[in-house]
This record gives sequence, structure tokens and C-alpha cells, in this order.
Amino acid sequence: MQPATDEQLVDRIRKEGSLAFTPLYHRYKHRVYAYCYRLLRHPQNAEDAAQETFLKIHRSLHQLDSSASLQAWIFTIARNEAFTILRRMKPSEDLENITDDVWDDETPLERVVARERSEILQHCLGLLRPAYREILILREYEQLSYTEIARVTNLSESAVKSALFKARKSMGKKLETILKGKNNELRAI
Amino acid sequence: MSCEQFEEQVSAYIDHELRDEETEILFRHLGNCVSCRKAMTVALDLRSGLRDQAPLLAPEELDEKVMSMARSRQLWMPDRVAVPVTMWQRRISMRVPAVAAAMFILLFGGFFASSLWLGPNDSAANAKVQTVYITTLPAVEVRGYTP
Repeated sequence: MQPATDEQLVDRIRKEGSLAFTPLYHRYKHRVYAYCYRLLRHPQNAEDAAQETFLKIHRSLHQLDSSASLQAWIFTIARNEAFTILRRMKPSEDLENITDDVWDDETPLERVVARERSEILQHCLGLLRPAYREILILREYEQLSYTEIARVTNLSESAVKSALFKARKSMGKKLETILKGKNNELRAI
Repeated sequence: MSCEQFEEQVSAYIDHELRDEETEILFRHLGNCVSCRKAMTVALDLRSGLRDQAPLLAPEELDEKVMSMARSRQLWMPDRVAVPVTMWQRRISMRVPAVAAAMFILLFGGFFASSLWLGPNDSAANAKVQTVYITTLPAVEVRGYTP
């Protein structure tokens, strides 16, 4: 059976109310969790944020504007929950808590290569200013349009365009610095 | 337009957020500018690096937590859409036993009421004054006929 599209889900919510919550949850649970995880970089906090997000969604289904983007609405709620937790987090908790069990299984070689690349990228992403990190996550991982990102972050579309450019540029520079450092380390061996 | 502005256009281009005429201007510039071409390569590399990562999956415990929360909460059902209808368009639906009971009460109630209003009245007050009208028909003689 084909999974329901956003349009079909919105239609079901309009007709069936809370009964349409289960398909909505299964469609978005991984994305919401991953989004919270990338913002918070802490598995337990990400799980708490995702749980709170779905609780809010369940409670606010009647407020869903059927003409607006469902995913923008969901990520707006997830963002608020993640930021609430982020504000409560101690600085020491904001760590690179990437554990093996949250990633898909791969072959050993692929895993080593992917992990190294992924760790470098995650590290760079973590070094970005929170506003840039968030906007890059919404665009690159969640693949939201500029209109949807503008809605989630409460910015104008031109501000989104500019922030994405700056985020990419900043991330590119950080990657370059890290890779240069790694090359120097390798040369020194 | 400066290279900085063109780099911003590169970023928008890879997001498919550039109009056709803007894309044309950008590519005309890219043909002559090495640093903007490099910016395009970096942006595309970054994208593939981020998007090629293994997906992050939600832990299974989240299912149980969210679903038990959803079960314990009050369900919301959307209101039915109110459509104005005229009186004669309305349909009244009742269950069959309710209709049968209502008909039974009406029928037997009607019998009982009619027997009260139309039946013999033996009260003394009404018995005092009674007018009896007797109509006597005149005798009619039919000639030539003897019964």
C-alpha cells in the first residue's frame, strides 16, 4: 500500500480529526526525530523533543490550516519544542553524542568511510551559528522550500535565501580548515 | 552584480529557487568567473555530503510513548458542516421502536380520550334536564289501498 501523501493526510484530518493522527505520526516520526537530533545533538533530548512535538500536534490538529503546508506546520512545532529544550540544556549536554545504534547498518568499510565523513560534516554543522545550522538542516536534510523555511523560522524568503548562502559559505570554510588540518596531521605521521 | 551576489545566486540556483532569467545571467557570469564556479562546486559537494548520510531513525520507544499518549487523550472530531435547509427539506430520522411506541400511544390514547368525550354521560346534573322531542307524523291515507 502506498503511504499517504501530505494532501491525503490533511484531507483525512479534516474528515476524521484525531483518528488521522497515527498515519501522520508514522509518516513524520523519523524526520521529526532526526531534525530534533541534529538541532540538539543529544539522543535523549531529541526523543523528548520529538515526543513533545507529537503531543502538541495531537492537541492542535483542529488548528491545522488545510491550505498551508503540513510539513512546515509540523517543523514549526518541532522547532519550538527543540528550542525549548535547547534553552534548558546545560552547555556540557550539547555534545557530539552520535551513537552507532541510531544509524542504519552498512558494510564495515562503508561504515568507516561514512562515519568519518559524517562525523566531519556533523562537527562542522555543530560549529555553525544556531540560526545557520537550523536553516541548513531544514533545507538539506528536510528539503523544505524557501517558502516553508520562511514559515518555520518566521523569516522572509529573501532572508532565508541570504541565510542559506551564508550558512553554506561558513560551512565550506570550516570544512576546508578541518580538512587542511587533517592533511597536515597525515603529513606529520 | 558582484561575485558575492553571484555566489548567493549560486546557492539559490542549487535550491531551484532561481527564475529563468536570473539563471541565464548567472550562467553567463559563471562562464567567466573561476571563483564563482568554485563556489558552485563547494555548494554541490556540501549538499551531496549532507544528503548522502545514512538516515537517522527514531528509536522504537518513541512509538509506544507517543501512541499511549494519543490513546489517553480526548479525540477531536471535526464539526459537521452546517448547510442551511428550508423546513420542508428537513428529514427527521427516528428509530423504528420509537416510532412504533409513539404510534401505539397515539392510537390507544386517542381511543381512550374519545370514549371519555363521546361516551354515555350518567352524571346527575346532566340527567335533570332532558328534552325529548317526539315527532309524530300525520297519518297518510292512501286511497284505494288497504294494507
